[in-house]
Amino acid sequence: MQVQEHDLPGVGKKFALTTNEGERMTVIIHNTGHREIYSFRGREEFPTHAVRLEDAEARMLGAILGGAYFQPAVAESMDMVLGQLSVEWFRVAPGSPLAGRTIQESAIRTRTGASVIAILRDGRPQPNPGPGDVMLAGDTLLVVGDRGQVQRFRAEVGGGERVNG
Amino acid sequence: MDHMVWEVGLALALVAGAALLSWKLKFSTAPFLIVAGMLVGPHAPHVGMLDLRFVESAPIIAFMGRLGVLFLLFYLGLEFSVGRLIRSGRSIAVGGSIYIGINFTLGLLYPALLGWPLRETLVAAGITTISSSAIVAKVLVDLRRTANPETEMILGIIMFEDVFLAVYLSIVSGLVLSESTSVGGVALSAGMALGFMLGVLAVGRMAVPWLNRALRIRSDEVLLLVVAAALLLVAGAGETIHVAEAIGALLTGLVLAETDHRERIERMIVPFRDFFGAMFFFGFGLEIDPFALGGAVWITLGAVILTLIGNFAAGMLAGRSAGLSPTSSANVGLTVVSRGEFSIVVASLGAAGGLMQVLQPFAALYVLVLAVLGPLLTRQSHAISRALFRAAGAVRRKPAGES
Repeated sequence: MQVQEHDLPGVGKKFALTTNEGERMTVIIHNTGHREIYSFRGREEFPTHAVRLEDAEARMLGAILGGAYFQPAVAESMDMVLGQLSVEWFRVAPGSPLAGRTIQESAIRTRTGASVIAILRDGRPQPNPGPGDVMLAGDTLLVVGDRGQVQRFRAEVGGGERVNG
Repeated sequence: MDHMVWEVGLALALVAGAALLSWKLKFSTAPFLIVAGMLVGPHAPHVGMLDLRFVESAPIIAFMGRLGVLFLLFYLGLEFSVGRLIRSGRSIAVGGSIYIGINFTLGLLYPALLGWPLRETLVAAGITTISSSAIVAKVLVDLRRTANPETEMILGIIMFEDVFLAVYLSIVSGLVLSESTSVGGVALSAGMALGFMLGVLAVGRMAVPWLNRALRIRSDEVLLLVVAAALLLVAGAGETIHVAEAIGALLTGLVLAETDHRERIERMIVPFRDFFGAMFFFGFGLEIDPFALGGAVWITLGAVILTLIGNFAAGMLAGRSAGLSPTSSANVGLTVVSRGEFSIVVASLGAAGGLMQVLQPFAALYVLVLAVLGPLLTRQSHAISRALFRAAGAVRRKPAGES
């Protein structure tokens, strides 16, 4: 793909893109932070369609286009409630009763009813952890249960914290 | 004297009302503010507390307007970067030279043919040559034309005009503000203005590393005060040697634009530019007696027609020389006809120098017409150019058929 960059004094910057298939589009980044996307139909001289995005919207679109939007966004709050079912992320804080224990040792399922269905360590997910798997401080746990069970889990882990809750 | 705050409040209410109206109508504010100013003033009625003559507050409104010019030009200088100019390079130089060559020549010829003296001619040429950067940029964004092929050419021409304005203002201000009438005296004052400009720029360039350190001030409040003090001191210093204070402001902006603190200063200064700039346009209108406009109507119409022709021709030439299509080239010419803030700045120089009275109503009418007509022409540029090309094609075919 060809990218040409031009200054638009007083307005912002212009990026003219031509894909390998010869389709043309132009992205304008305004000094105000707005972005605009124009596309050219065929050989047409003037752009025929425009989308205007705010700064945050443009970043989101960038993440979607870059394929980053669908990767597990640990930093994002992932709080979904499907009927009675609740799925939440928790970070294991240092000093949490869970830190350094296996799932079996913590007996977390028996005590709260909620299950740990994945452990994320250093950005790598370990799905379906077994009873012998250890939880460390700094891990992020994906926990599933009904609302009461997840709430009990939160109360039980004490030193644990909900991620961006 | 006791009603000063009330009077300024009334003025601000008019300013805010005019700005609100222009915003609702999606026009630039300057012409509306000028009209608001013209409608009131010494000839306006007063009923009790509702005194719209602004007799007591006229000096303070005029002073706020003066500050407005300083902030407008300071901001222009900040926005402007020498590096950017060099990068934009040839296309700007060619298009800009064509534009200035045609329109500045017309701008000088017209008042000369009217028999105006030299200083008036120079000021009038400045009024008619310089497009409104603010209106052009706003219209391009509003009409979603920023991605069009001709937009770089348009903004390049505008930037070239800004450079021209800076140099022109400094030379003409020397001529207009000096009292000397001899050729030698006039040349001396123009030379002094140019020398002041180059001197400040040279010293400023060398001082950039020092300024980078000195302006590393964490408190916004303190930085604002330091910058405002520098702005008024440099502008005032220029004035003492008959260089328009606007030039001093522009130079301060140009120097600070090269520092690391440009964006922060720009952000801080925008509210001041907007506030005092609005007072400048209002105050400019306030000075004009609407009943005196009649004497300037025909002069203005002639100038408007010349501007339309000159700008369109320059757009076609510049566009075609850069390889743009005829339609795109026509867009260039029809977009750059908007006139606004800078024409009024040049005209206020005429008032400061005590030149012919007709310059102010002329500038006001001229800007009013082109600030409204410009965006309309830009909006309809495709239809207009299609009609023009069809007419041109018909003319060209006719002689061919006859021969």
